[in-house]
Amino acid sequence: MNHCSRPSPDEPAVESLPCAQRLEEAFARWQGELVGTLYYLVGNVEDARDALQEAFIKAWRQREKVAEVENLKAWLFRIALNTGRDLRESAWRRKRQALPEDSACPPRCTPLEGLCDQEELMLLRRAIAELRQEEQEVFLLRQNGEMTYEEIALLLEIPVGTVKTRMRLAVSKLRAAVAEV
Amino acid sequence: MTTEDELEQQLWEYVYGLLDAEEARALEVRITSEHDVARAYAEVRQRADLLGRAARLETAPLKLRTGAVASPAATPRAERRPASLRMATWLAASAALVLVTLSLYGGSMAFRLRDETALVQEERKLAAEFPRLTVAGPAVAQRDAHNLYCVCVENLNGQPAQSEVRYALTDRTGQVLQERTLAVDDQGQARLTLLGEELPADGRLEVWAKTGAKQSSVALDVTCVEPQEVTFLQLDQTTYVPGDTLRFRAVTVAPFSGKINENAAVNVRLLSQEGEALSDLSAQQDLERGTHFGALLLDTALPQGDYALVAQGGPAADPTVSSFQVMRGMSTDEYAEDLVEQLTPAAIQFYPEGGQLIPQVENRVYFFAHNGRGFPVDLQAKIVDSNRNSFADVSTEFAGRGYFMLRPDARERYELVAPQADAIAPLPEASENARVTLTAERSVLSAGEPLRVQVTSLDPEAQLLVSASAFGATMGQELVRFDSPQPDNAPLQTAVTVPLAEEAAGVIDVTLYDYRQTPPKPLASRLVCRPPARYWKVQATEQEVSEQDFTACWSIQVKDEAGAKAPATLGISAVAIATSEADDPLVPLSLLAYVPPHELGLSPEKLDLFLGTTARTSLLGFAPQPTAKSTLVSTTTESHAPPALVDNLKEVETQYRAAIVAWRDAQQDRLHRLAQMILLGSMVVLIALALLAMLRATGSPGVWIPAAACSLATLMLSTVWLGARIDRPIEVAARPLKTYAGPPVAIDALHADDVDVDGTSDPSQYRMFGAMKQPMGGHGAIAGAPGNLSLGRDDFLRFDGNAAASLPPYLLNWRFALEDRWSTSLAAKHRSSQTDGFGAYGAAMTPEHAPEAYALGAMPTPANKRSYRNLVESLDWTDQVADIDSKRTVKTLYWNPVLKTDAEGRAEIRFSLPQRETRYRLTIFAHGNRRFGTLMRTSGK
Repeated sequence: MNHCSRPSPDEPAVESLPCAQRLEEAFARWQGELVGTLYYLVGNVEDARDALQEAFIKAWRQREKVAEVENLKAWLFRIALNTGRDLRESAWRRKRQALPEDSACPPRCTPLEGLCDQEELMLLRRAIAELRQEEQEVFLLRQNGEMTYEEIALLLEIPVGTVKTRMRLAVSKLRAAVAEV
Repeated sequence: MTTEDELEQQLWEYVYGLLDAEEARALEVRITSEHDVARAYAEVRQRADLLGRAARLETAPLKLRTGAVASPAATPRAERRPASLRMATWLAASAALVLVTLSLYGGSMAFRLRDETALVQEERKLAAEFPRLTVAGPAVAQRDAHNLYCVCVENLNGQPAQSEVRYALTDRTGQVLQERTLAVDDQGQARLTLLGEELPADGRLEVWAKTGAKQSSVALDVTCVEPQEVTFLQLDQTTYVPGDTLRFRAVTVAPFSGKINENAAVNVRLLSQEGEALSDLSAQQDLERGTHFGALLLDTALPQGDYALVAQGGPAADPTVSSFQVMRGMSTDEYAEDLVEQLTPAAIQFYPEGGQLIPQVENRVYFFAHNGRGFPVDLQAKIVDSNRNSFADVSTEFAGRGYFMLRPDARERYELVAPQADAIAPLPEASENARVTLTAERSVLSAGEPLRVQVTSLDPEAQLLVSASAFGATMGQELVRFDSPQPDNAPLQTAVTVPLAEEAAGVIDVTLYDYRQTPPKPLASRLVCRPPARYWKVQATEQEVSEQDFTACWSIQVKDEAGAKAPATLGISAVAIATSEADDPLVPLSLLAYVPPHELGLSPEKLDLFLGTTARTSLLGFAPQPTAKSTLVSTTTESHAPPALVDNLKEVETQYRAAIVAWRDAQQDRLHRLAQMILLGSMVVLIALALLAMLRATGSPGVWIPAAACSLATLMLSTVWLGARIDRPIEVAARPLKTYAGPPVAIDALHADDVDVDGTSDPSQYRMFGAMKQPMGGHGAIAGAPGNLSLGRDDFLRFDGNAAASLPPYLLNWRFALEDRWSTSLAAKHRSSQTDGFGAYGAAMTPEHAPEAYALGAMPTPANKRSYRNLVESLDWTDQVADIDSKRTVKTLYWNPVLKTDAEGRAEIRFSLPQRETRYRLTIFAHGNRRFGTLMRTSGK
């Protein structure tokens, strides 16, 4: 059994767990962010869940490397981003229709709250979905993955300045959308 | 942009970390110091949180799976399961692939065997349906005779076919002269007799055979010729001295009808032994009632020797040759030479029946023992091999002639040893190339009786036909068919009955031909005799005369074969025979066409000996040294053309091949359909698997990838297998197909693939079954690895084409003795013999003086000639020579070339004798009313 010797600062509770178990814990913890990111990449909830499953398998196959990863969350988001990209670009994926109005309402909402939140969230999700793809990726990695712009630049293989520019454009568009809510 | 907007934008960038450190610190100072900025920041943070919520997606908790491995911590062994499962899956897929491959291979072999069996069955079935026709008949039909044709119908399996057979005879313009149906016997044979009078000069005989729905035909050209007349020539004597008068008479007759040509102009010439014309006798001949007669005074300077009188009744008639001798008084030297020739040890000529001595087969061998002058010698002898083991005791039965039976080995040398006659004669070698014997059941037939012969062959592929001819015309023929092959190269035997035309009479030449070659090759030949149906019986009674009168008086009566008295024309000679005792008793074989043997005083046994020892020089290409006497009888058998034989084997084979190809085409169409179905099914399976894989309905890729690979391999193998079956070449054998019906036999077989079976090659390239020792092509039951195979009754053999190896030229080795054998058996050995009261004398035959080839004691060499002279000079020969000359002074006592009987067939002759003790031979020939008759009587003291 392989134990992680350098647990991420984000995972104080799992630092002493074996790599496989730590990986499962990490997926469980960041499932919302991962699914959300994949949702915008593939366009519907079911595909996002499939992509997450596939990303998990990919990560599982490399679970021996978890011990060497400094930022486990960023590592998982990189895998998820690549999986989402592959799925989005596949011929099979292109034939499927996006379902942006998929139910994304958390089950804990009261009907009235759920109705208000659902309307606001739907507007914001539509705004996120309408971002350009490169802006969307930068925004989601930053928002959900909490990655630094340097990490994002490294992942996307683009300069940091480009990352920040895309982020500014994304924030500017989303700010306008938030203002209408 | 307003200031508020700029602040808000700056706050958004601050929230998302887009500001650099300095700007961020300045903004933080404002947030802590300025209330409005702090409120704006709080609002931006709230909106950013809302945006963060929107960026996330709260869904039902997802239970993540890693395939078969649920939790490494909970199931430590689960980490090894995927590998083993994958291995098991691959192993299962590989096993399935191997099973599929083996199944396909086994299936292909089963199908191949089934195909082979089906092909063979279809071939046999089709081969049994196609009627193959063979028609044999005279190459030239005779106008004045019945012409017999033989039709044989068999299928391509070589079995008799029960078919409906009909024929049509057409003339040159195509007009049908005859059209009838023929009856076919159990052997698939039908016989057709065409009367010469009904035949066109140039016509065509077409024969059809129909078996079920299959029909075939064959056509034979028919050429009919007018009768070829022959001239019957009679001399008053056979031996003359210079100064004698030679008298002759000639009658020209159509041989088959017996009609006398009373107006025929006969040209008679005298020829020397070298063939030089000495005299044209046209001026000395006369004609009365169709009989030409004349006389010739032999010149007193005529040298001693053999001469011939040639009579030709018209330019188209065959010339008839009658030989005679001219003798004169001899000097002591000449008489010594003549005596030496007579007293040399007996020479023996052998005549294996059929022409050759065949190894491993019972042969009947006739022989003729004679002295140097050709006079017969009687002897007792043994047949011994090279180790002096005795095989048979033989003796002459009549006139120096006899026969014995011998089953020779191929490489053994045999000799006839006659100690009493001081004769040793090597038999001809049994030639390994000689493979066919011809034996007549009876050499002397009754009138109207068909010919029956026994044929023995070591060559199962020979296409044999027995032909019977008389006067150079084919009188009957029959195909030779063997019932079944014999094991271990045992000879094939069959009895053949040859129907003969009713006109066939006299000496009949029976020849066995092999029709694999063109022209047909004669393999064996012998002579038989069938007496005529019509003839005259001539009776002569000597009348008593007065003692003082040296006169002979004979009453002659002529009757027909039924005993009815009838008029006839006679030719009569009476000749003193004082010097003729030692002669070979001449048998005028040409007379046998007109007169039964018993009328000539010949029993069937004696005539058989003459027929068996009559050289057949023209057909087989061998020529035993002829004696002066034997040339007289050998001229009775003319050469003749072999019968015409046509068959439609090639045409029927073509139809057969077409039927086989059509059948195989149908088979291949069926295979094509099967192939399409399998290909379609395989494609469906592949597509289904692909769909399932894409839908991930089959689970792990470790399962569906091997399944797809297995399916793909199945598809490929199926395609290859079916393609190979469909593209396989059609195998059609050359004919004839034969079903082996004999007992099991060991043969050498080739693999079927080694046999050229496309049916287009030169038949000579096909391998032969031969003598069951040579390689052969096999199919069906015998297809397999080369080697000895045992075949049963129902096994099927395929035979191709004709013999690849042709026989060498048909030669008989008549070297009776080799030089070394001369030296070992005869050198320095004094030999003696005794003939007809002339005493016993001999000579030492040394190797350097031995004749080159065949003649044991044929001619004396100078050395032994001197020795004989010493012997001769020790005797007093003068009286004997003078006595001989005195006996020759008067020879022809009576000659009447044309004597008519009265209406009751009676006549009487009277002639003078030189002295009362005169012995003479009376010869009477009668003709008229399509009949001939003869009588020879010896009288006197």
